Amino acid sequence: MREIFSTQSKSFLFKEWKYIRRKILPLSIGLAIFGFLTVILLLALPYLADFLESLLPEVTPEMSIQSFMDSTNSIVSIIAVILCADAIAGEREQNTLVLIQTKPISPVSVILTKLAVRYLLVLISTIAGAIAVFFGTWAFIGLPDIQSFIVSLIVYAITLFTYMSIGILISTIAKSQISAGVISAVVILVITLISAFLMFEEFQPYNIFMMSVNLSMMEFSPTNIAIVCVVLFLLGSALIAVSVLAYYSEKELTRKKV
Amino acid sequence: MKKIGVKVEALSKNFDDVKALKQVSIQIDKPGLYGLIGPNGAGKTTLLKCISSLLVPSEGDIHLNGDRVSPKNLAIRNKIGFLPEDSGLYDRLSAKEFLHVMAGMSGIPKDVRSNKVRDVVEYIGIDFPPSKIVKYLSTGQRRLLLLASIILHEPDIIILDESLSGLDPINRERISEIMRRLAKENIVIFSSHILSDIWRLCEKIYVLNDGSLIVEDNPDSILSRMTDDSFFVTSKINIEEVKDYLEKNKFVQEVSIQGERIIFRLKDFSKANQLVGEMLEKFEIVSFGPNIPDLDQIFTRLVDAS
Repeated sequence: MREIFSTQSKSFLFKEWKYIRRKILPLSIGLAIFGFLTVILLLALPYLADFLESLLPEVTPEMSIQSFMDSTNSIVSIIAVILCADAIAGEREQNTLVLIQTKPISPVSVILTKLAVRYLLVLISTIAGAIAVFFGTWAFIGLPDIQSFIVSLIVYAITLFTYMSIGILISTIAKSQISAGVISAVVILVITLISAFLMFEEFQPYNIFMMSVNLSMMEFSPTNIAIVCVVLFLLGSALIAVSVLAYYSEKELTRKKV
Repeated sequence: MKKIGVKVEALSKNFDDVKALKQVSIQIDKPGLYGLIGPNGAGKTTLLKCISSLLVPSEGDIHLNGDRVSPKNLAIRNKIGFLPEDSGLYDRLSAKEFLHVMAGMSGIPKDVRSNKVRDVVEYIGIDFPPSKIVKYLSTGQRRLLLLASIILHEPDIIILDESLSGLDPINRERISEIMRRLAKENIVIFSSHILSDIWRLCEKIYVLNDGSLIVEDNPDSILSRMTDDSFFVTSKINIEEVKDYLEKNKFVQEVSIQGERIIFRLKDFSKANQLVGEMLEKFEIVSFGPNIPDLDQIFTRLVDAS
């Protein structure tokens, strides 16, 4: 634990922060616009095609929240893993990995710092989007249930951690940034698609990757939510542990160059 | 004086079925400049990476100041300053920030970091503004910055991989001068595939070829070993005539032409003056002297001999 808060880690964090910070504002604004658009689109849908008007139920605040959580779960998650792609593979490509490897900084703090700054970036942007969708819904549809929205966001924050650990793991193993980004995006897409297609109701309490989306429409017991969160967290931590091992054994695996 | 030393014992490194290093042993126990040469692919970088704990040896041991090198031993990394051949830099930071980050990553506490960075900037003689973004630095400036970043934590053993390649003569001279200064108190090991870099700097030379250490000696004794008693003479126009003349002379043997030079040996050294006098009268002699092989020839011969 001491090594995570060591001088080395703080300096490394400073460097990572310098690299990441300029992305915060554009991404936050982007996701805020995205959140606002989900509300507008939901309202505009009946006017886009006449036959939809009779098919669609009346728009409720919960529907608006759910559609935001749904698109966040796929789109923001994919953005998040693409942001993770440069974590280790990027350093490898830029030949700067050797600068880290020759310094007395532990693999655990390298991986955790890399994850933490990216996680913070995505989290801040998602909150910006959530605020936009909350006020948009309030203004045009009605006041949504703030409590269940916050619970959904907390569950999504944990899901995001798991997703981003997948991204970090792939970045640690991949040869290049681009391949890491593409592979992670495909993996996340497959996970979200499979989760979304498992629609039968009895399964939903166990559908861990969809929990944040389903929360706004369905009732789950607090124990159920807690279990899902713990499972997601453990899964993410396990992936981080594998990443650290992969990073650690890097010296053995790579570089045939003599 | 602090006790410093590098001890490499029977080091082997295999990459799958490629044997990059075969039973290399090196022992260095006093400060100075040590050169590592060899053709491309001889295993120089692999050896240096093993010493700086970037690669794990397949066999053998490395000790620095008596401590064993292993990837688990994070503390040992502060005894080494390793300048990689093709290292990147953090392009988005300014030069000063880069040095601060590297100092922090070496574990230098925040309150002394500024002083340390200032001292090193002065020592290296960095003359560009420290606020300049690393991305806009020239190759020479980047090399100086990297060199500064690896000596921030005052390592005992400084390892420079091809630190002079790709630089103009002015920057080469600057970096050589820094290396000489560093070598007064530290062990500086540096690699090159250009012999002339190493020749004028090092007190000891290690020649690697195909993963094995083939020569381990100081430059002078390598030179004397490579030099025979032959002489050379060059002439402006009538090189064939000179050759004929020499072949007919009874004190001369083994006459041959190498490019523009005529190489020969004398049976009797005392006749050298007389011979030169005669030749100067008869031919347009441009130069004459003992035939010392140039550095490239030495390099080629050393490698071929193995």
